[in-house]
Amino acid sequence: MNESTEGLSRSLEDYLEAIYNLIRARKNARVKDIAEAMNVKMPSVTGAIRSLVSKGLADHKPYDHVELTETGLTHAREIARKHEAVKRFLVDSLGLEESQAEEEACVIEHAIRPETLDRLLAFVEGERHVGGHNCCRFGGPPGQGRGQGRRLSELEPGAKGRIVRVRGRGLLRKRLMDMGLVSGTELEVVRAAPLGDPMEIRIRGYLLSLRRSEAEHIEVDEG
Amino acid sequence: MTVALNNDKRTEIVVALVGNPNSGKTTVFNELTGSRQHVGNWPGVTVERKEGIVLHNGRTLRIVDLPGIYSLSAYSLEETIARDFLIHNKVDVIVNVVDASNLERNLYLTTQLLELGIGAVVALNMIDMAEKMGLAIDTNRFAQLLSVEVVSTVASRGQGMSDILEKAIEVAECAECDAPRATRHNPEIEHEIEKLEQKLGISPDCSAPRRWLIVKALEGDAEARRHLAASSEIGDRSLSEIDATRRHLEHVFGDDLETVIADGRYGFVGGLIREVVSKPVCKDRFCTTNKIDDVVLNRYLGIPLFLALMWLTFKLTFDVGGLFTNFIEHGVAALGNWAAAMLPPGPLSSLIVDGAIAGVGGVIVFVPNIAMMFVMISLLEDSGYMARAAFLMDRAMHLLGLHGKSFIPLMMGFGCNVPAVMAARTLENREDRILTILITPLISCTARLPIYVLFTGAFFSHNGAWVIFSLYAVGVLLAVASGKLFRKTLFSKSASPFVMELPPYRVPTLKGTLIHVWERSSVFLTKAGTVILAASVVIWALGSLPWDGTFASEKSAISRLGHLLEPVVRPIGMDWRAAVALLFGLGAKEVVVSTLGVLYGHSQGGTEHIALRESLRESFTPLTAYTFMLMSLIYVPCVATIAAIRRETNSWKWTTLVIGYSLGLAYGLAFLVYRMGLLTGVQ
Repeated sequence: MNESTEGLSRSLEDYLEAIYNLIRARKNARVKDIAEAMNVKMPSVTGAIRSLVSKGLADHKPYDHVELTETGLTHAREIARKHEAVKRFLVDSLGLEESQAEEEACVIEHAIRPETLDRLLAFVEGERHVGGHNCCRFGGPPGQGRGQGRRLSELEPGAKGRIVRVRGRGLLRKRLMDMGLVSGTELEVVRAAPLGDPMEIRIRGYLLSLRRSEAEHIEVDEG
Repeated sequence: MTVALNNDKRTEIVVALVGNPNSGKTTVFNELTGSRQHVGNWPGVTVERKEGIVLHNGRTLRIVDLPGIYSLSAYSLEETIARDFLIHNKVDVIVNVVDASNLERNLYLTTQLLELGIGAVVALNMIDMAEKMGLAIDTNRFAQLLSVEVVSTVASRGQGMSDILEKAIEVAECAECDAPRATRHNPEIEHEIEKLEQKLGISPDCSAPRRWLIVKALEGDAEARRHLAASSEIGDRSLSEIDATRRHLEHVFGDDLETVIADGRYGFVGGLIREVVSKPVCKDRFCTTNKIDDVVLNRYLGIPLFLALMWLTFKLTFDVGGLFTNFIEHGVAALGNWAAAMLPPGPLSSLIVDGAIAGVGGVIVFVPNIAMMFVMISLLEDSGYMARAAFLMDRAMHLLGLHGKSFIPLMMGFGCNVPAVMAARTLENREDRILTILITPLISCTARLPIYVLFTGAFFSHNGAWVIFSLYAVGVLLAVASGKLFRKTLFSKSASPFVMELPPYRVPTLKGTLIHVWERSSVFLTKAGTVILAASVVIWALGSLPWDGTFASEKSAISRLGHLLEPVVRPIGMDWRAAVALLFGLGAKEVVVSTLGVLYGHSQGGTEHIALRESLRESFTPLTAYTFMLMSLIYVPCVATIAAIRRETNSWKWTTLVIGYSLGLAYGLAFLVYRMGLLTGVQ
């Protein structure tokens, strides 16, 4: 829960940005390339990618190719936009060198307070837009448009979402994983049984029924 | 000749058929082997083991159909069986049946199978369905990426079956073929696996593949860990190595390793699909299924429709089955008469006519009902409705500590307990299945009805219907209460996960249905039949010996037994005749009525028999009559049911438990009712 309300850690944002840039530049991002681009060791990269995958932001393809999901892409674009904004502010308004601005921007985009960044963005982009609900992770009031990890059991028929986490242990957890309920997976609640329980969901292109007591173990990001 | 030609090759190719439930694996198996299949049980368990021998291009293939599974972990019985077979037997080729219209989840199992390092053929089954959905699968690329052979099949139409066999032979006989390419896990994990492979020094003659063993041990699989410790050079220390690595990796990924690996597998599958499938997501597959479900699972219509379907199933099982039953009964009677006419009267004739022929007749008389029920159940299962039935009823059944699928066996119990016990097969989880079997005999079957009719006719002519209804209700209530009791005492507290696939609706194939019905009915005939036959002969012997030409006379062994039992049944208000009748009821409950007829000196003991009612009124009171009916309801399942329970649980322990429990329960309850009745002055 903390993770989702705090948004992405600074380092994860950097990874997201690096992957985004690699994909834009070369059409694909491999773990090796990411490690090179960020000047870190490969294990650190794989750890970070796992985190991104678990948040539903990235996908791991064969041969270590990494792809961003729709959500991941949105986030990455947002981060890149901020990065550009800060950089342009540093270069255009303050007259810094391109390379120095690049380096500084990497730090500033994370370090300044969201409100300040919003004003900065507004300033650079020429928008007098101060309320700050145009930004996803950094902006917005708490609990709006971001992962409030609801339980699958609470969702109504028709609701769609993405699995944030599967809690519980042992047989049930293993069974859920084997049936494809791992974090990052999208699902849709189809219906509840006439007696109210169990419920039916669509996941990975097939239909699955599970009891509400079981669905309680699954945290979902609605959207 | 053939031996000489083939002496450098193995004489038999062992092919393991593996796949998800609902992938059409059974249809593939039926198409490959046709009627040349052998059905048995896996050692010590009740999971069906099917295998068949197929000759193709001069080679002999032994095809073993492994249970349908979603994963190769060892959490369920089916998974354990499949896994043990793959590891401990010399499997030459795995034929992995995959539902091409549902690749993502099906390939999750494939990633695990490939880790075993056994040559594999992936059969993309139901390819027609996938094509209808607009999916184009690049099979060459698929084969190349995984280093496996890939064939497209439509098992329900027999398409691609010879391709499977050809490729299987090719893979089995290809010495220099690459092993299938195992899933690449996350590089970090791969690195650790490599390190472990060197450190642990797993003996080369260990039957499980090294890499697989390590991955499974890392996932915390208990059996893999045991195996690893046994085959590693450093013995138990290998486990501390595994644990250290596990901790390290969990630290790196910030999540438990099982999840990380499952994530990785699904990630790999997702990537693979993106590479080989042109149009990955399409919901057309659900169109028909959705439309049907909108009606069948509708909030208002769902349950009435379900009940109507159940009523139809019940009616067809017992009415259509019943037509044949009459026919068989007449046939058996005619055969008996003929034999009686041919043989000189005496013990031998009686043994053959009253013992053997009547005994065999008692077995085959069930066959039409059982066959008809399995026709219905096959249709429900193969069409995809069975999962919906469980979905609809689970809430209600779960309150009783049962699974949604328990409803059908219990309902069948009102007709006859024998098919009911066999219907419990549809429950996948062993505990759910056994629990359902244990309580089924408490459901009052039609064979008990004649007893109720006779006694209510004699004692409760004014409110007979209510009396009979009360007995049915008592049966249901006891079943529910016993279910709760057993769940609390005998089975694990945590109910097994319900998590269940709702497969797309499909039209069942005639061949599939017929094979299902045949194998299940024939199992009943051979296995349960022997027990029933033996029991019938024993009952005949007890009733006829010492030989004096009459059956169940006062001098017979069984009536002596009845007299011996008199002190036991006295406290519940019964005499020796009642005891004898109940003893005979063990053979078949309706026999209680005819036995009472014989014991009271009326050659014929029908339920409408006026003289018999008169005699009963002399030795029973309404109170003892009700007690006797209660006793008949509960006291013990009939021989055929016992045989079915033995066969389905594959355990004398459970069978004895059912007998002991029901005897105790019946006696206790009868005692209570009788004594309370006496105390309150009810006659």
